[in-house]
Amino acid sequence: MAEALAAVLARPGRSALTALGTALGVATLVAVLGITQTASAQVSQAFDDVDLRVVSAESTRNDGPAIEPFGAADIERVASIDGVAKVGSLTAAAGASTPVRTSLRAEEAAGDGAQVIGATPETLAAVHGHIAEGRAFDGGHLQRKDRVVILGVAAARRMATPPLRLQPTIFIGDTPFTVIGILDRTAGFSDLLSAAVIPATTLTGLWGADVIAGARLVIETKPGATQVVGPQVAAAARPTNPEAVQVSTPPAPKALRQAIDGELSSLLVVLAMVALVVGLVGIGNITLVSVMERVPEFGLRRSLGATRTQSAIQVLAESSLLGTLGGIVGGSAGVIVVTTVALGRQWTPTLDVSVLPTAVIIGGLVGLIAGLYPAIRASSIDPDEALRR
Amino acid sequence: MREPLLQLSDLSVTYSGAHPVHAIRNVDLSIEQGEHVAIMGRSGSGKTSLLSVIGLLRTQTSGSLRFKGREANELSERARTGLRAREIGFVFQAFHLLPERTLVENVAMGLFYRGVRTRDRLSLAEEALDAVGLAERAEFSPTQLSGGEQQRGVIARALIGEPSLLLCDEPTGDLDSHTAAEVLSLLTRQIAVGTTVVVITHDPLVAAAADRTLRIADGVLQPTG
Repeated sequence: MAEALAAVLARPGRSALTALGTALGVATLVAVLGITQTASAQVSQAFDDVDLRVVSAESTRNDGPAIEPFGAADIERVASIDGVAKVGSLTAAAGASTPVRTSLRAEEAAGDGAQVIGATPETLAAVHGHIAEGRAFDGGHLQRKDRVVILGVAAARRMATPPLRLQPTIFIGDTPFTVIGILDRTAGFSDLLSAAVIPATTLTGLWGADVIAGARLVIETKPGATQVVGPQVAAAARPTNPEAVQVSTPPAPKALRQAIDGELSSLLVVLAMVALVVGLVGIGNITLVSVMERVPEFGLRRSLGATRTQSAIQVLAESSLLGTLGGIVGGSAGVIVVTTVALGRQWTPTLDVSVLPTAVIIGGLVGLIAGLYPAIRASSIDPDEALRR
Repeated sequence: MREPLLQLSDLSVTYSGAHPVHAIRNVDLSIEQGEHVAIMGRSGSGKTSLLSVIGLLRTQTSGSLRFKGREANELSERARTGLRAREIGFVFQAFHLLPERTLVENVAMGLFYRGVRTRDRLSLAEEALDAVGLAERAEFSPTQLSGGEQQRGVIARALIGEPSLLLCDEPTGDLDSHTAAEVLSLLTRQIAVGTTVVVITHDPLVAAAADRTLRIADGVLQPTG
């Protein structure tokens, strides 16, 4: 190894160029691996996003004509299920009973109205409702049964609602409501964007249970708990009549994630192989050229007592050394590329800690394999012929 | 009776090919331990081929070569390599010094294959360079040395392992008369310590210093006294 190191250091320019081939291959490998892992982490993060963590439970009409809204006790029982993060309720009023208008005078009324939905502050949190303007209602609004409304952005646009600083009023039925907020985004509950959302207590207080056309529980689970929580919701919400609850659980992301990870892995394997072959051919080619150029040197070494095996080992040691050097440089460059790309896309760079040492080992192995043929050539050099050159 | 260091009997070397070349023909030669033998001949006469066979760099096509009583053809390649490392020193006309290594590293190279540790190798190489008057050039690149200095460096490399046989191919070939005399002095000094020296030369002065001068023509060896 000392002779190999001396030989490598004796030709720094050539050694650097030889190592560069492996460095490029290993850098490509690490970059592909890192970017794939980073992208995969992003996909995983997306899977764990709130869209796929919300379970909804709908009250159905299987034991009577009326739909029974979910009460505080129902919500409390569901909230006590392990894995539940937030629970809220949505109570929809029948459109005919609760027309939504901007004016009581028909000729001044704008838009086609909106679905009236009773909700709680927890509901808006559970659906990750985003208030673009104004504010959401709170416990005080619910307690006082205030006549306040949050309009979905589509409903507000349709009704041409004035700016909130003018404290606009709309009518639900004949009752005036003050618009306090505009809801412009939810996690998968787009029906709320075209609705008039009022405190659930106000809805039942003003119109009673008869106007209720639908009742839903919105349950946000902790990451990964959706599939566990889903089957328990019906019994928790309606212990005496779980059949009256229809639960919708988002599809398990595991299978989809595995499929995507599998695709990425296949791509990774192909790209990694290409990168490695490029590095291997590069280092092998330059090492072979180097051996052919150094035939007299190997002849001299044989005359001084080097065996065929020692000649071969020297070439293998040199190529492995260069491969390892390429692995270190390439691995480091790959990490820089991954970090740069990830930061450029505002992703979190994700790279297994074992990648860098593995890259160095791979570099060394590439060098070793690439040096096999040149080593055989070096070992077969005839010292007599070599010294006559 | 002491066995000769080298005993060649009816030895021939033929280079095969479309037109086989008979480089050495039926050579009989005996060289004693500590003897100084010069071999002269024209280019292409077979001098270098004879030196290669004696130096165990190639095997003869037919005949026998006994080195210290051991038949060379019966030795494994590893054993022949071992003999080269321990018993034989080469002084090549073309020097074969590695330009990317320092002179001391070049001189020390042979000891690597004898398993000598790096520090000891360099120390012994410095001593060998001192013996040929090149101690101050130890860290020089061979490219920074004159022809005479390079040849003395090559002699230091050949002698560092204290071989019993020193083979020299035109050791004064490209040197001026003054430098050639210095090199010859080094070889003579080595003979004085009992090393057997076989020199291929065109130089009558080098041949005159030998105990025996042999002439070779068309691969046939002819004693000249």
